[in-house]
Amino acid sequence: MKLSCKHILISGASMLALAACGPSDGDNNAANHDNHAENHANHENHSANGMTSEEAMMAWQTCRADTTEYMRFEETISSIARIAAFEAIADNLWENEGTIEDQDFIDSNLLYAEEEGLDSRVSRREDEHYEPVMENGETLSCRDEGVPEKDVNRCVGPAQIKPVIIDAFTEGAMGEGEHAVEAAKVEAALLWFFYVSSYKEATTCAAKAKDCDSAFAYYTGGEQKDGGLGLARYYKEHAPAAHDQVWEGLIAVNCWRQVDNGDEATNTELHDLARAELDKGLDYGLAKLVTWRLDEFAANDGVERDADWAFLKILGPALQRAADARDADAAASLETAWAGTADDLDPAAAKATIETLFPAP
Amino acid sequence: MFNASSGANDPRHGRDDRLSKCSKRFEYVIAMLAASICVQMLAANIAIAQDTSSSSQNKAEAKEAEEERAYTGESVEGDEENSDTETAFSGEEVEEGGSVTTRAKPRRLPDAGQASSTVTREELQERQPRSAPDALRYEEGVFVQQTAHSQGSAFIRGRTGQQTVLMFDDVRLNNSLFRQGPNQYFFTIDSRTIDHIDVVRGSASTRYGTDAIAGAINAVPLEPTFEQGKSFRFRPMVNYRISSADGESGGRLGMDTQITPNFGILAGFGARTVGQLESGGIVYGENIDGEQIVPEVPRFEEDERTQKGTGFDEITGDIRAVYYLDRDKRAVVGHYVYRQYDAPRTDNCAPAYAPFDECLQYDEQFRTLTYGALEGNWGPLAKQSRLIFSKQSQHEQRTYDRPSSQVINRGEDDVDTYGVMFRAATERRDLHDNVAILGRYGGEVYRDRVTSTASIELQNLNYTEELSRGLYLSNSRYSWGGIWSELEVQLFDQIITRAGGRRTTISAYAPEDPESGTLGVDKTWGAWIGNVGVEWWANDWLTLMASADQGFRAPNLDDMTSRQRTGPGFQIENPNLEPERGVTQEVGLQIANRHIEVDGWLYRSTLNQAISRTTRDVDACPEGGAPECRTTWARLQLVNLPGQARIFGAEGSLKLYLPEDIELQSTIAYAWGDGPRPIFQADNPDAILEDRVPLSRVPPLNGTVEGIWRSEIGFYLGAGMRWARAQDRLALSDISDERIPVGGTPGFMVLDGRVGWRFAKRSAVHAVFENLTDSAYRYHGSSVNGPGRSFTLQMEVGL
Repeated sequence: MKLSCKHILISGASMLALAACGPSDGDNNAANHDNHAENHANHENHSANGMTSEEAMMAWQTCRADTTEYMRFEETISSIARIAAFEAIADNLWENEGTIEDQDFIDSNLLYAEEEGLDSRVSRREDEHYEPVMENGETLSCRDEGVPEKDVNRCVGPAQIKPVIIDAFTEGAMGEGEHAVEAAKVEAALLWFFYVSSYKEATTCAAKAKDCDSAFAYYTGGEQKDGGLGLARYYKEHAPAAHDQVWEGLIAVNCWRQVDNGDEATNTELHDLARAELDKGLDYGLAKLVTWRLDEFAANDGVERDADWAFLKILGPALQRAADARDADAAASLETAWAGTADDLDPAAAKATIETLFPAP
Repeated sequence: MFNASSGANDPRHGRDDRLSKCSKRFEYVIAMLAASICVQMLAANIAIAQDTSSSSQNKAEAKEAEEERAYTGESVEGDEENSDTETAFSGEEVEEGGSVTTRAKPRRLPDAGQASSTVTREELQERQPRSAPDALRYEEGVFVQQTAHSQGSAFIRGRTGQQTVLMFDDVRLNNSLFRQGPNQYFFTIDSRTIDHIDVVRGSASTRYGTDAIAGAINAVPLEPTFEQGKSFRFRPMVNYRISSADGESGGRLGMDTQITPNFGILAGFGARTVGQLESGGIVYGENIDGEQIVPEVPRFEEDERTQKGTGFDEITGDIRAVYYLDRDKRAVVGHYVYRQYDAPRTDNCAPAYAPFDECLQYDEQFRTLTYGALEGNWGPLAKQSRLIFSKQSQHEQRTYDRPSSQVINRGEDDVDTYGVMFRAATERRDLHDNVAILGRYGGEVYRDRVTSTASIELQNLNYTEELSRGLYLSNSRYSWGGIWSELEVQLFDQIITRAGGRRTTISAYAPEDPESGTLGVDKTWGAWIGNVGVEWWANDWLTLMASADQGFRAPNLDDMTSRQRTGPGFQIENPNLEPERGVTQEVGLQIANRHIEVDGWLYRSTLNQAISRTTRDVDACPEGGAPECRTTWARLQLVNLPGQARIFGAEGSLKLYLPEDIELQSTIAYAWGDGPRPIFQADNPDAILEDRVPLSRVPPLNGTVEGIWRSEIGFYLGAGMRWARAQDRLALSDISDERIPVGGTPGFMVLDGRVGWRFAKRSAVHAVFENLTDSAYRYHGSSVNGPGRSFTLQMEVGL
């Protein structure tokens, strides 16, 4: 039994697609199917076009070598509007050239809460790095009552990211917190959301090709390599090497789905290779964002330092899973650092640990 | 009867708030009841004073008035039960509804001239429908879809919503805010106030005007009864109903008062609270690998039977005064109030893929209808006429609550409709021994005025922002009117021909709203349409019929100005829409004698420039407004399709009158529709597009079987079966519609049992045992699965 997700896929040369698998960022996590006839046709096409593993690998590598721009599966990518909302919130808050006012938080909260906007996706975001929540042999959805509490890592959106954002808007607008600090919390939480989302969409793209578009959009805001909004803007500025690597990862994902172009992808080997490349770049970039902010923390004082610490308290732990996977002992020191206070933090030591764990590609 | 604590399990509603709201509702009902009693008491005093002097005169007139009542549909003591049936099978020559009729016409409207049927009061009592739309489930060619437990929309010949005219006692309910596709508005008629429902299938635009492309449904209300020889009579009535599937509990208290021999009032108020609906279980979709897919809509409680996003509260009130001016003229004043509260829209509570606690709910869904009518024989040229002045107010207040995000979107829409309607039939005139003619004619004018607001509340900030526009544009106006006439000629007592025409004019105005990037509308359309038909009474028991009727529907304000989330996605306005026009051609036969009735129809319905949804790119989103247009997973817009949409179909019914007072009846209907593929702003410009695609939500092959035994002592025992085959012919918008399971809606067969006892003239107990096999089923296009095995019990007691 599967949860439903419906889409009509443009596939081959003769099928029209109207995407409808919930969100265009492909938010449901299970595999999905759609119109019988079209799916049959797609399956047949895939079988007819089936390649051996070697042929597929060769086609994938050729595609990667030949491709410099991301090729959309669909013209419209709704996730782009969410990145635009992020940029507008940035202008209101942490990149506000004037003084941040209470009203700026209200305006930002309105942008965040737009129907089908950022909040709608944060509310349901699951981190595909973790196994789905299971109970009695059944997969649970983080959208359901009580599930986020069962696994806050898998249900990262509703369990961790969303409360931070709502609280920050509240504190900022009500004048109960330093505006810069609350703005930094929103900034870090949304970057965390994009980091998780890009990988998530690259994963669920196996069931819906258009999710690859969402993976691309959550990283770049729909722009090509030279441009870049949202997370890509940060990576370009603070971790150019990471940006290159993520871009290669996106192209790898894009090419995998071009090669494995059935309604549902079946070549798990290529999928895993492409995702791993993307994941590696995303992790490295996130690590670089943390070290960038550690530098800022070390250089600043007062409210700015508090804002840096607020940022680090959110995005630092977001790096924990990747750090644990690399060296659990070293990662433990980071965990301790984030759990402590600003005064306890040794930014140089933390930065060194991170750079050890996440070396340049 | 009304449970003040209903919905108290919803943590979002504070108890104080609930009690306050409930208290206000009761105040309203009590005020209505008090007003009704006062009116009746006052009238009674006047009546008693008049009684002595007028009684002898009225006795003399009573017999003549009785004849007229058969036409007006009024119940007459001693003849109020089965009066229609007796008339229909009397074999006597009557002029029902102005039709030149000399023979039985079972289950047909007397003057429809096309496929039609009637749900009688008796059937309403025995079927115990949950709502007015639900009362149509066993009707030939009608398929009832439900987007929510508190909503229902009748598909006639594959079409619904704006393409069907809904009426209450001949007053149009359709207004300019009627939504495309299924809508909930027929639900806002209290089924307990209905005497019978007339259904005309197929285009009826000549008689009923714009929108009647698929047909017309007219709910005819209960009338005060008159008893010959009595000057004053007061009859209280009470009924109470419970239902196990949704925990419904409620009833109606009524007063049928004959104040003078020619003046009566029927008044009542009702209330019910309805809980979550328990279904027979999940209706699975199925993917190409044969795997079962759980639809996103509806959401279930842990038992996987009880459906979230169902349940509502309802209060109704009505008062109807009838005064006979003469033996064949009368004046009627009616006031009908419908109040529905806290009714979630099931497919958006929670929306597909959204957290469990998000919910779009109609906090208030109101209809208030007030009208006055003059009816009767005003001479040979207006022998049977109706002149109606009406005012109707429709009110909706919605909240889309996202508790975990601490956001509430609110919207409120109101439309007031003023209308005047007139129709009449001439006296039958014999031109020759073998030629008789009769004319019908009429006209109507309706005018809507709209107000619409929307806001967003950030609860965490205690901040509310009013938006520049609501679902619609405030101060929008919509007017429509027309005049029509039909001539009916009877030849050789065997052939009836009909031909008619209508001139319709419609104007729409909506102001622009630059802040939200909304363009204004200022348009006027006019159209001539017509119909022709012929009946051949081949012999005593066989009638053959053929007709063609042009349909016409101008885009309404919903089409041209609304921005709203719909089942398949977010819909943006299109101020450039043009009217859709069509033709329905049908042939039919009727066989009728004392033992059998057969009704069969074949039809072809075409629609040019059909208004249909298409998907749009982000570029089509309006500048400056509707941010959700850019973030939604599917943008939709209504467009005129550049070709012809068509529906072919067949429908039939069979009724057998067997010995021992047993009746058996069965219906079957099939529709097949396709239309030009909507023009996409191509997501894939290289895709090779098929020329034609299925029309949206066309029902599958479906039918019913019913049997009932009625004893002479009032006891009855019956059973019914509803069935539908799977529907996997899906329009593009159907595939993106979470209401329709993956791969299409599975077929079903549902058995219902009925038992009851009419133990006195106005007292009875009715029980329905629904879905005896506990099937999990869903009517195609619905968000709600049908009730599981359950019972409904109604007690009626009247003096």
